Parts: sequence; structure tokens; C-alpha cells
Amino acid sequence: MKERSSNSRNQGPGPIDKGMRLISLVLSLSALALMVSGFILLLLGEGAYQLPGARALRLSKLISWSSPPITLMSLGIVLLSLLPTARILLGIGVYLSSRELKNLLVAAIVLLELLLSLRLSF
Amino acid sequence: MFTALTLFLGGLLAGLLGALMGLGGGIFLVPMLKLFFGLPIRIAVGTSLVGVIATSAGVAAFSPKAEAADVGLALRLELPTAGAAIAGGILAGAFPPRVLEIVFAGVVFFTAIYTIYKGRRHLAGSSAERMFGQEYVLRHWAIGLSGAGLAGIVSGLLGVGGGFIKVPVMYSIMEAPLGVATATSNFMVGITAGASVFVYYGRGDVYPAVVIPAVTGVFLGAIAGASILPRLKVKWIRESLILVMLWMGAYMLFEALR
Repeated sequence: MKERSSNSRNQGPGPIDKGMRLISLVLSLSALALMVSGFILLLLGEGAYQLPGARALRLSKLISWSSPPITLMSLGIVLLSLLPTARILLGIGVYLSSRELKNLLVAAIVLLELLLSLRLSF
Repeated sequence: MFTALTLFLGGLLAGLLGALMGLGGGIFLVPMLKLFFGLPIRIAVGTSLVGVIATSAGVAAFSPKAEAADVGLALRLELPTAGAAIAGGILAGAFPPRVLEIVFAGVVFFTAIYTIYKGRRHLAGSSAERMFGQEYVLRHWAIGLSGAGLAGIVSGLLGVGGGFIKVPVMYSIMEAPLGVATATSNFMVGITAGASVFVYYGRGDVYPAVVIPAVTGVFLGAIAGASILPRLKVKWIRESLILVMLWMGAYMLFEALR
């Protein structure tokens, strides 16, 4: 199968490029803020830091807020790990609005794979 | 506290080296966590997968070269890659740690060879037109998709981004321009890692006390590396790091076989 790419470099960044950059910036910095906040609370509150420490909270237990440091850190890790899913969702939005049905179908299948992985972690 | 700082600095170095060499940080981070911090390999891999996502995010957010990514190509190749990464993550739970360590040592050696190859290719195709190209025809999709699937298995099994497989597949086999292949690979590695990271998370192989200092360092290192790369003559860095990788691979193999 040969396919000419639709990528065009001479028009500058398109909506998908700008959106990817923004979503990567916002989510990664938010995730880092959560992680670092939780880590600082951990260092301040719970005795000597040791490796490997406690496991990240299971997804089903994240809302219980049993221990603020570990909950914040786990939330931050989960948020960062969801960034690829968010990028795919953005792609789906762009392809839907521009009616690129082939790309839309491909993105939807990749999204299903990511959601399957998420489901396996519960 | 000193341990946390050392993890951060190690992550920073891994992210920086990864960006300078066009690799994810995983190929440096996993051996570092295993060999210097004595962590079990599955914890090192779980940490590294979060680090790969952070690297991909850092490049996407701060590097102008990220816009060269062919998102359509990336998504098509991710069809087998993401599924294979999930399978790799599940398989990692079935294999004994020693097997994973031996396989990882092999991957490190292979990556060193790939880095030599990439250095020579970069010199050959370094004009802007050859690096990025305005129009290009992608060929050999069957082999490309198979190679992408292999990259997914390796990523899910060992916590690396798989760029050392994806870039040659896209560039040498599918005939995408090198700059497009590299940028597209940067985009893909985040999705590939995102496919398997939750398998490790659900299995309890992700430990925040390890992840957070290491991944914060990787994120900042990747951004720094992407920023300073255009100003550096990377040839001598690449050659030094090839030697480091060969040493790392040998050390991991020795430890696994002991």
C-alpha cells in the first residue's frame, strides 16, 4: 500500500499541532504540580524517605483520600499517563471537524486500545 | 533526601542524554535504576514508562521540531504498536526478572549500533529538504506496521520508547524524511508508553517515591536537551555515549547472569 502523506510543512503549524502543544503543556505541568506537591508533603510529614516506598494507589482508591501525599502523587502520575489519551481525543476532535474520516477511524481504534489498557489497571 | 536528589539528577541526565541522542530517556533510566539504586527491573520499567510519557510531553510542549510530526502516519503505526505494548506489559509480569534483564542488555547493545547508524545517516541526509521534505510517498506499509508492532512489544516489555526501531522503520523502510521520522517517533513513543503504563500501574509496579524525582528530572532534562541540541556539536557526545551504552549493556548482562 502506498500513501502520499497529507503532511504539509509550508503552511506553518496547523490546528492539530497547536492543540497538541497546548494540551501537552497544560497537562504535563498540572501533573508535575500534583506530583511535586505530594512529594513535598511526603518529605515533610512521613519520616525518612526510602526506596521504593509505598505503591501508587489503585485507580479505584484514588477518591478515598486516605493519605494526601500518596493520593496527590498518584493523581499526578495518572494525569500524566492520561496525556497520550488526551492527545488522541484532540486528534479525533480535529478530524471530526475537518471530516477526515479515515484518520478519524484510525484515531478511534487507537483510543479504544488506550482505554482497554486503562480498564486493565482497575 | 540525598537519594531523592540523586534520582532527580539521574533522571535529568537520562532526559538530557536521551534528547541529545534522539532517544527516550528509558534506555538510560532503566539500567540506572536497576544497577545504581538496586530496584527490581519491573519497578524500573514502570518508572521509565512514565518518564517516556514525560519526555514526549516535554518535546511536544517546548520543541518547535515537534510540529514536523506526521500525526496521520503516527496513528496508523500506533494501531499495532499500542496493542503490542499492552501485550508486552502483560508478558513482563510472566517472565522472570532475569530474562527481562538479559533482553534489556541486548536492546542496549542494539541501541548503540542504531546510534552509530543514525549518526552516519544524519550526515548523509542533513539538508533541510532531505530532513523534512515537502511531499513524500510512504511505502512498504506491511513491513512498517510489523516493525511498529515489534517496537510496541519492546516498549511494553522493557520500558523504552522504541524510537530506535521506529525511526529506522519510518526512514529507511517507509521512506519518510529523517526529520519527519524523528518527530513522528517522538510523538508515538508517548502513546506507546501510555498504552502499557497502566498495565504496570495496575500490577503495582509504579512507586511514586521513585517515579516523581526521576520523572521530574527526565522532563526537565528532555526540555534542556531539546533546547541546547541545535547549539552543540553532538558527534563527540554521541561517540562517548555509545561507549557508555556498551558498558551498561555488558554490566547488565553480567549482573543478570551472575
